[in-house]
Amino acid sequence: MTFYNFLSSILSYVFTFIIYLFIFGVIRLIYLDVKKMSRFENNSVSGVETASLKTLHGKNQAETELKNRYMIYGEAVIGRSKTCDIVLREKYVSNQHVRIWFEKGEWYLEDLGSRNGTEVNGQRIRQRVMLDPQDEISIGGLRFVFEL
Amino acid sequence: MGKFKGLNYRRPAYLLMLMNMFGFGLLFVANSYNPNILYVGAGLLGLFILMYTIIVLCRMGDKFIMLMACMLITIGVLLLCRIKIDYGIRQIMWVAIGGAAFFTVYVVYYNIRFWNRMWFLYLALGTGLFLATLLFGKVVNGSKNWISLGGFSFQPAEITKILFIMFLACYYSGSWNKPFLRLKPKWVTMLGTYLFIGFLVLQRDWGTILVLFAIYIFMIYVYEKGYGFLAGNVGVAAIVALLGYKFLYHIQVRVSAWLDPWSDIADKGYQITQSLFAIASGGYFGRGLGNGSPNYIPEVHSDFIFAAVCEEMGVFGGAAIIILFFLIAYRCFKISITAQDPFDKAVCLGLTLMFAVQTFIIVGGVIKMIPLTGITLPFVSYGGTSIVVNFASLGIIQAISAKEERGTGGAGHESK
Repeated sequence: MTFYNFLSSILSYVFTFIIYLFIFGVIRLIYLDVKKMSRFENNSVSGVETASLKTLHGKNQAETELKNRYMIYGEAVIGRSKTCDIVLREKYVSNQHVRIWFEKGEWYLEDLGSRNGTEVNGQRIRQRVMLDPQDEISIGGLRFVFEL
Repeated sequence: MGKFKGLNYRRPAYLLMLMNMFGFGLLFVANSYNPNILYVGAGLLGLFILMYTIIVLCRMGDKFIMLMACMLITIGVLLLCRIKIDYGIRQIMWVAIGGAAFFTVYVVYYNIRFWNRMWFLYLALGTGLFLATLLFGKVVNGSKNWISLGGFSFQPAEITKILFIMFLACYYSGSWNKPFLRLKPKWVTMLGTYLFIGFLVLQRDWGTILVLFAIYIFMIYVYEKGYGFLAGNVGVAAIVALLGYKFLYHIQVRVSAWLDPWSDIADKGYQITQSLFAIASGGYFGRGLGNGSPNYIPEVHSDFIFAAVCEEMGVFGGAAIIILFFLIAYRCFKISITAQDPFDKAVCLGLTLMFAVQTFIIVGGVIKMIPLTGITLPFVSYGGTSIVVNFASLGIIQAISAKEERGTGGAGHESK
């Protein structure tokens, strides 16, 4: 048995040790990562509350292509105008149609005097309403689901 | 990630560097102080540091997948250098090209938004590559699956795997629902799958057939509502496999070598028995790098590298490789689950399945759990196309995780 064989045999234990330490380290980091994610379950991105509007493709007859999901970061004005946060270039959507915002732990929706109106769960909106997750919102006939 | 203490966060990366230095230092001594070994080691270390730094600094999403892939590559290159230094040197060149492919694919996939509309292109490109292989291919080890272009040869089947996954994802993400030639997309995807598999049968590339079919079956299992379609596909495949076993000599040889390699140990069972001897002689902690004799196994540098790992690093080393693949698959599945865009979800799922199935098939084959079919162990085996394509797939996964980490960023696919 030469010196090299001896060295190599010893180092084989060292290698095993290093590899498993590496695996342990990665698992630990992944665990911390997952834990951090679940702590911010409300999807807050850098301090701003976020919510989203999921498009109900099946029930819409849109002229333009709608995205699957529109994100709302704290506050969003929805309308046809280019200055809106979420632009819907549709016939029955007014220039500034509706506003959705977050205030003191709740999400609110308010119609900005649109021509064709806004409905939440089938009810025409007259004044500001509080939104719950899974509310169905109809903006000028386009249907979305509000999700946190 | 910013809140972690610096040391904790970087510790796995330091361990990887330590492993690299110890390993190549030992090989340097073993190969009578050949400086090439040190160049390979230093090159690998440099590449790893460069890639990992770019990923962390540019906030490119998930950091752990690349870390684990680099560990696998380090183990692979160590073993390749030990088997034959030339393999190690060529492998490190491929890793460099693969790294470039990783970042290129990352940028391209991140910025182009109409991937989900080009199903026809994927099908046509895949078919074109197969036809080119049939016409201009050359036969290596009984499989006609190499194309050489001006002294540079590659395996088109590896590239087709990615094309196939994107083709399936077009349908299963729901962005392709118009019928084609009066056929529903569901049947078009099925026909496309069997077309690819048919070409692979002509090339005698059984390993890739298994990979593609397993990906298809798992995609059906995840996305289709009823189990009828799944059962039908599996049933037909079982019948075809039985018929193939009855009539095709290639498959009979493989199955008989699997069931009883000892009866024909000098010829057909030679490879698998040598592999089993190697694994057995390794024991728990291995014989030590440079102490074993992996060169008795034919094809040890590509298909049978797992046996060499088991011999020189022990059962624990082999188990570590399997655990690393587990963790990679876990991370990729997580990215797939949290991805917002349906096309990204489907592509990420398909690529994860590709890694997982490929690992299962080749590790299972080497330890005689299932019949052996020759495919590469991702990131560990020697093989230019395999390394580059695996890096490219990682690039796609990385782009998907980056989209997610930066918020949707408006980079979702256009729905149609």
